[in-house]
Amino acid sequence: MTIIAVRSSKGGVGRTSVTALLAAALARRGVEVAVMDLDRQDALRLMCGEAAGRPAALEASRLELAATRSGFARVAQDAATCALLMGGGPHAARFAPNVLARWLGAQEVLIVDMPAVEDAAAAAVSALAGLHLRLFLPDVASLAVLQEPSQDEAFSRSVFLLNQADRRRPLTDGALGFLRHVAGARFGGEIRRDEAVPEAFASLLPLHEHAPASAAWEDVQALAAQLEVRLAAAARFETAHFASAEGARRA
Amino acid sequence: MTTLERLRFGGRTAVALCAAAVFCWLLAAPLGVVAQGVFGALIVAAGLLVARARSRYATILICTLTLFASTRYMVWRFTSSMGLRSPGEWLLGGALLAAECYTWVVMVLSFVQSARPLRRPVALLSMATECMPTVDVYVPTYNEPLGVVGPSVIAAMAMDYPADRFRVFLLDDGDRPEFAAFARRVGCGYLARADNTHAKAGNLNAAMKVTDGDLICVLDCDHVATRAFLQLTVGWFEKDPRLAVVQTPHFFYSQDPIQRNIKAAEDLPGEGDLFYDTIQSGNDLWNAAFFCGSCAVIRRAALEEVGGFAYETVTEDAHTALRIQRQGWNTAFLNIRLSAGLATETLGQHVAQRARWCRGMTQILRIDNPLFGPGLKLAQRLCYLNALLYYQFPLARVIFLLSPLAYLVFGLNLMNAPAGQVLVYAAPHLLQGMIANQRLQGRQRRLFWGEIYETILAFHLVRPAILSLIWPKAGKFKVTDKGLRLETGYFDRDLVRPHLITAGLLGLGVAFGYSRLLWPGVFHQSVSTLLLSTAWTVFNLLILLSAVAVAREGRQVRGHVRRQARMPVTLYFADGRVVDAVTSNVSTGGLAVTLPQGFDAEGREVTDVDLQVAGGRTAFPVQGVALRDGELRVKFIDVDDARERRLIQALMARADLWQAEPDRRIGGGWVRAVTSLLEISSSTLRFIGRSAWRHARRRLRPAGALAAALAVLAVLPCGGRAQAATAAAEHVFAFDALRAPAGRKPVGLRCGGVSSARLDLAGDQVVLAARLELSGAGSAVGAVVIVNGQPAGTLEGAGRIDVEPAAFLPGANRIAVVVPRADDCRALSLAPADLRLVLTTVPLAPPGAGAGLHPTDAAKLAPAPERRAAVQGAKRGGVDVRGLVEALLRQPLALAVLALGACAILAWPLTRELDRQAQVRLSGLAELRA
Repeated sequence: MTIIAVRSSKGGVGRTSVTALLAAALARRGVEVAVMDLDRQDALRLMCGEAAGRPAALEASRLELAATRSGFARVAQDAATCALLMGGGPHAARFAPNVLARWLGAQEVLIVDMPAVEDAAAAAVSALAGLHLRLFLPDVASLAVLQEPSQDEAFSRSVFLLNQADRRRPLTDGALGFLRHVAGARFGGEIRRDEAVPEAFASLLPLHEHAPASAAWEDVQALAAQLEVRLAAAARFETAHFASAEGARRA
Repeated sequence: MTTLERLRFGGRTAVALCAAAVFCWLLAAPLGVVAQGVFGALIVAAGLLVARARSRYATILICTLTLFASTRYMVWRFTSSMGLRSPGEWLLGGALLAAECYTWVVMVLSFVQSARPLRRPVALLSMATECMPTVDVYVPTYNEPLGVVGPSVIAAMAMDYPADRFRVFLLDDGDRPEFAAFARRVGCGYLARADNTHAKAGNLNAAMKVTDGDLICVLDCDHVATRAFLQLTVGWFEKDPRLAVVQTPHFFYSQDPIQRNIKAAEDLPGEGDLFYDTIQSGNDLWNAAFFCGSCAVIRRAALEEVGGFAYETVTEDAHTALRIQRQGWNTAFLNIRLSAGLATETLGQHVAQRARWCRGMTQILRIDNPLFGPGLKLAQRLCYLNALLYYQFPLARVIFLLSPLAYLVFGLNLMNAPAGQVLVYAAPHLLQGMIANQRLQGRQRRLFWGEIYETILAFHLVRPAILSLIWPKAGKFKVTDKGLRLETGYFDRDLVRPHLITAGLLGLGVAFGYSRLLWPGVFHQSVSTLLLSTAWTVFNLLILLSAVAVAREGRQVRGHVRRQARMPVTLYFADGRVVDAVTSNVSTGGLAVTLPQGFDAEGREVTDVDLQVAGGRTAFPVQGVALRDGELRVKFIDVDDARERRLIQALMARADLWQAEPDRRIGGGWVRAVTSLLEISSSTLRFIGRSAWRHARRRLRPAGALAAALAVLAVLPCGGRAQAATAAAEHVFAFDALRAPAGRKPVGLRCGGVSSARLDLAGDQVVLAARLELSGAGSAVGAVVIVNGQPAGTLEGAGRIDVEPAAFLPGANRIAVVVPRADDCRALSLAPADLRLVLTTVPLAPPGAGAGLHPTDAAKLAPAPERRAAVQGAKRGGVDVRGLVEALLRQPLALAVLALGACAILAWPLTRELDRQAQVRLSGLAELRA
């Protein structure tokens, strides 16, 4: 019963891809995962292979169709338990606390693709998230956000990740050093830039099927392993918060 | 000390003294052949049993047992096997004995040295950064190319040590402008001098004059240091203020010529591993680890006290250490591979390098013998002595190789003893020696490889060893070339010519020895001695052929030396794909990478590889060279200074890079050692056979066929003869064919005269029956035959008389015929030719002497005391205590139990003493306490 909020304060950092990859990696580790897209680009369903036209997968998810009426749809992906929650927008704010609570009753982990600019739904999720996976690119514009990180109330629950790292560019080393310095123990590592990732999305195949040797997939797997350890701590936080949110709603 | 403690100490001392007395007494206890055979077998069996235990006590016990077996052999050699009969035998037998003595001394010294290697831990500096000792790192070079020297300098500069506390100096004795430019570019110190007197030692001494660091670290120009080198070595200097030297192993990441050339020896440890893992660690126990020229840190104060590096000999390193230790300084050996270098490239260079070491060590032995002179403790003297004496092996090795020829070709007995006796004394000595070797060095050296290494060098080192022994002052420093490469494979004929000649001689010698069996009347060939010599020769041949195998230089095509290494890398392809992979081998020129499962590199172009460098990762541009079986070979391109530096750090400077696997075992033990020996030598035989065949086909076809046919003809009857000869054989000696003791023919028999003759019996032949035959019309009534001073029979006319066979001894026998001055002297009509001595002999078959002997005959062979005891016992009705004890002590089982007990008791205090010494050493305060 944990929410991982994948976020960045700048667009194009790769939130949606990381959400999809991480969900797949966690699912392959035996974790029951659901994903939710709060981003307006609505690309997550594509990246989770929803458009691949897998009737079998859709069939398997029919049990959950009740959610569709509320503006959410769920598609099992890759025969694993990765689920895709779509929609969001204005509905989400209303549904967030109780829908999430219901969802999380069934799922161990919900990964939420957060919008760059936080709306009401995002704010609701943000308050409940046990882990904030913050993505950065090895460039100045992306890292500039880190200037005053302590102002962020969720900082203590954050994990900092450098996406699209590329050792051939000298900036990557610098960016990693900077991020490691700022994040300390909350440094989550890197995901290397690998052309195999966009190729896999384009061909509507999971990355590990399209390019099993991909360095990016290695990194995502390492990240999943690391997050599994961190999730235990996050779960304790959320149990407390769900209880208080439930109390506030009743009141 | 309380009374109880004193009593206990006294008791222990008494027990140890008793054990020592028993030990010494048993060394010389005489035993018959069978008894000694059983005794030796028990000792060896005990050795094998003890070798199964892993404790330190077991190690010491094995050494004690070996000491016992070998010393017993040496005592026997001196007391019972030296009755040689001709100047030739004395000369060659003396040489063999000297060689054996040498081997024994070196063995005993090596027990002292390496029975308990000290495992010295790392000591880290505890002081603040600004108080750490300053270090000057010297990288001396003379004629090595920049490609070899550059990486060493760069790696030395990248060591983890406060940047303001160490400096790297390139000491260029070649005075080359491009080296000066290189030093400027990378920012290290550059020192050159006007002349290059005293070679490397002079170079280092000159640098000492213009630098001022507290410590001096010497790194040979081809030794690439890892980052941790200084961090891990300097600490001991703080812990022990009287410490002068910390030496670390020389590790070679390229294969040495022996490893490279012997295909069957894939898991063969490097030749140097033994020296560093066992010998230097053993030296360290006794505070006698010595400086080896490189990869060491030395305290400047100690060096200055002895006037810098010693330059009187060509091995300045060991001599410098010896001098420093004479001043009371300590040394340490840290068995962690903190640097890696290039092994010598070709066998020729290897031999040249060893010739230099041999000369240098012999020089030190002569001009600064560690046995004499001030300042050393006994154990230190012995350790240094062993290091120096080791290099006297060439002559001894050549003697061992050639000795069997003395009997095979010239019929000279180098040991005057029956073959069976030689076997039962020598076998425990040799086998127990092997057990001890396996125990002490088994991890670093496979069985027999010590012999092979020595044999490779022996012929070439005899000259320098002897010359330096006589003229220690002559000789120049010779630089060992490194970093060259062989363009083509070739067979270094010059280098192995002596080996091939010796092998040929040994082969011919065996053939000749057997062919002599065809003429038993001409040669008194003893079959058992022949067999023993053959066994010895075959062993020598195996060793020689294995040594020859080394000379078949393999082709080395890489300019950069590759080494096996599994390092994680990331590959970048032109189409944007990125994959992680693991290297299979690496060099500073390129990598071979095992591609991950499920990745198809076909059609993709690799552009970059990233490697772990100093905690981070750095990408290097590469070009694909080949793709085969999932392995991608790439070479580094666009390597500039900065990239080269990073590359060296990535590939050579990782602190954990060279560590040996913690529990490396050489697989297979005895069986593997023997099969690999056979494998290697047979491959050489095939190779020689093929070359000879090619040669022969071109030139000597008819002659070769003829020779082969002759050889077959010569060998065929030998086999049959050799088999038949193991049974009892009858020998006929015509009296007139025997020589008189003075060398003349025996004169005719006269009335009242004595005619004596000498009869030589082979040492391993036992006379079962003997008779004198008178032929023709001769009659010699009343003539008495005397064998070795004992009357053996009286002649009564023509016919035959039996002579007491026990009167004949192995070796020379004196036979006399005394004709009494009697009235009927006229009756004597006897020419010496009429008198024949017919002996029936059996060979003394090893080890169950007397196989084929009748029990009564065997009883005659028993040594006199045993018979006496038995006789006495019988006379007194079996209650003779003295006789019983004496008889019991002749029992090999009882003696073996006694010997084992004595060794087991003696090993206790030795183990305790060694452990105590280790403790003292590791506390780092050995000298302070004294």
